[in-house]
Amino acid sequence: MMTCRQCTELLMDFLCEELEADHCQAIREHLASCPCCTAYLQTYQITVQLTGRLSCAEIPKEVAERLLAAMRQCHPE
Amino acid sequence: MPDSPVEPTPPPLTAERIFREYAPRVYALARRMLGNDADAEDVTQDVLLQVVRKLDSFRGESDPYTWLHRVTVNAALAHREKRARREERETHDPIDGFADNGHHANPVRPWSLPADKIALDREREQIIEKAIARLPEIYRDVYVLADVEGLTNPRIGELLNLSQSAVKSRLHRGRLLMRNALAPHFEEVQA
Repeated sequence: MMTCRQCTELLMDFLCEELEADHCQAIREHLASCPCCTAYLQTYQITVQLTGRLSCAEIPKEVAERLLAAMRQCHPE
Repeated sequence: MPDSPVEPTPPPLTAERIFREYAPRVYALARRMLGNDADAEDVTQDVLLQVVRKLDSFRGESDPYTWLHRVTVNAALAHREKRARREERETHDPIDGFADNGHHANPVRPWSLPADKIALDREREQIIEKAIARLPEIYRDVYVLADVEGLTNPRIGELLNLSQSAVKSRLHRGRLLMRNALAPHFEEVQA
């Protein structure tokens, strides 16, 4: 009988379809009877999706000015 | 015989153009790997000056972003090595956070909305960025390159000099820690 810990360890491989069939089956059976692990899988996927939507960190204005100044010194127009 | 079409001359690669086109992504990657603005600025300057000094070879790159990823990651790792303050954070393995019988030690609740319905406003982005900054470096590097930058596991292995199994293990642990860090902010509110 698979434990929640075992299910969590194999979660990434399960989602990437890189697990052998018997392990996949064991995970599906565990998920069918474990609302905690079902929620864990859902929230794991959401975490990955949200992170993929992050925008570029904004460069603070004074940092941008210093960077441009250094670049112009190295490569005068 | 008609004249062959003349290819328009590309605009010159000025400091401003290089900055506008590449600086935001370089800075974002450095900031996430190093966790603070000051170190990110140092690394970004280092990388952009390399671009400026090697403009001819940079122009010849078929994919400048592949080159920039490699140079930025190397610069960030080198900068971290030089830092006097070593990371003192203990690297906690999230797989250890289970009860002795293998069950979850704490209840796990679904999050109230699916990913595409969650508006990523500035506040939520900052929550996610802070969670990334708190990841142990060994997990953070892989997590940022995979789930923020979208690089493949083999490419991450090349950049960080890691085996594929190490990349996968660290990525998984990074995701587990991120999930745990974000849960309090996104869980369904109990009635």
